Amino acid sequence: MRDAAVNDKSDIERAFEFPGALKAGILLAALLFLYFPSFADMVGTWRNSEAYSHGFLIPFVSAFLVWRKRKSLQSLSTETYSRGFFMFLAGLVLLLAGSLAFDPFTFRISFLLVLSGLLLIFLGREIFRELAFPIGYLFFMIPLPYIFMKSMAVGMKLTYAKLTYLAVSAAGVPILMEGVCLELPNASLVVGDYCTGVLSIVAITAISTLYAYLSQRTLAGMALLVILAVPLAMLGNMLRLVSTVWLTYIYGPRVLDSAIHKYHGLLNFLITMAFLILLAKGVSVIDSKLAKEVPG
Amino acid sequence: MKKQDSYFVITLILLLGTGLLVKRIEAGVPVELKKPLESLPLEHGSLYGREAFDMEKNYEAPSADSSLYRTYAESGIPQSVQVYVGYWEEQNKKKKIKLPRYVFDGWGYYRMREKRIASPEWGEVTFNEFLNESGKRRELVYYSFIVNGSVLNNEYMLRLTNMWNAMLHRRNNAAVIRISSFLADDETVEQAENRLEGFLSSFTPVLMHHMDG
Repeated sequence: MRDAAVNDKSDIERAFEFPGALKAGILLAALLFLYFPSFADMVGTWRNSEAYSHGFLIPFVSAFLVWRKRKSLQSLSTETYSRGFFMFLAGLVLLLAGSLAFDPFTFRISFLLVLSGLLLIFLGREIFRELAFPIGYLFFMIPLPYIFMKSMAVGMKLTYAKLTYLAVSAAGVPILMEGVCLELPNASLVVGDYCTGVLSIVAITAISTLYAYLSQRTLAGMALLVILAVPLAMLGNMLRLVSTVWLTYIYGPRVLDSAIHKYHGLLNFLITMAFLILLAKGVSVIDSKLAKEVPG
Repeated sequence: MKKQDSYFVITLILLLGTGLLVKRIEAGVPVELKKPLESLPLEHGSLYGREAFDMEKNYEAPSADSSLYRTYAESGIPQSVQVYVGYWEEQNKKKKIKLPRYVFDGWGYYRMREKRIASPEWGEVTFNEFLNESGKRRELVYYSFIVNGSVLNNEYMLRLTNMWNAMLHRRNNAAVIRISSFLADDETVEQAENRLEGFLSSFTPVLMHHMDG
């Protein structure tokens, strides 16, 4: 009976019994010692920045994805996998690099590698494979580097200004473009950093990645949906800019101070989500065909 | 000792060792300037400078240990040159060099490119150039970074150099120089470029004598 009770426990459950739990607790404490100050700052960024407020949800989503896999995790066997040290050491190198450069992004990314390395070393490849996506998904909680965001915003501002100018002038609206400035007869508009929708693209990519993981069966199908989501988000933002310019031309600069402009971004986001769901249905058709061609 | 136990000890040592190394890195050594920035000459060729405290509102760099905000102008010529120099004796999480690629509210910038500027004393130095604009108003800007007596225009090279110095010498001091000028309505960008590059060509060597390294 006792043997039967012991055999009822899965490998992973046995791994976290004493003294495994004590070792796991000590390693967790060491990780907290290293990462707590940076992660505390990160939570501050989530709280203070509207653009990164989705960061609060990501750890919960990740935990939910792990919970979903509880039955399959219980059926897998653990192993001690020494090659996990490569990932673990790579994470530590990134941690050092992030510290030397005072780059919080690199520092926080190192956490994902260090954690992955530890899971590989102590729980093995099978269990790590199951947890890879939930851990990788934590990437979306990490605010992107300021330099990267600024560079992206500059390039996108010019592109959006040009495309908006072309679309609006093709519709017969008298408009001039000088750099990122769009001149209408009744108003001057500037395509600012906020107008590029860079951060809503980050949020949409996070959502599309999750949706792809849950709705598609093959890796190719998932990748296709994620890749297509980015231009979809940009198209949605383009429509927002074109409609803002059009409305300003029709109704004047008061549009820019109105509720329309204030909630335009949210409406655009919801419309993009709706298009994403339609896109996912289309990709699912391709994904099903791929799944049939490569069974298992 | 079982394999898993030995791996546990190794990973714990590595984690704690890395943590201690990180703490050591964070406690760097500040490096002072050779000469204070305020002692940079107010007269520069045919230009005369004055302190421009109103520029501080535009460039949010309160974390610099030494800052210089000046406007250099030539009598009879309305277009002046705004100069900002910021120096960090050491950098950490709370204070580090911020990219001086800012714009005013409602402005946009473009035409970002590298420009090599010949300097008699220092050979060629590379700056980043971009144009800020809003409608007909235009501002031409040049900026670069100074580390170890060298002018670096690439922010990634700046970070790598700071990392290298922090690892080997426990120092990560650096400076940023940003100069700009508003263009006259009838002034072309090329004319403004000649004006600013002439200024930079002679000003940079003077500035470098104030830096460490």
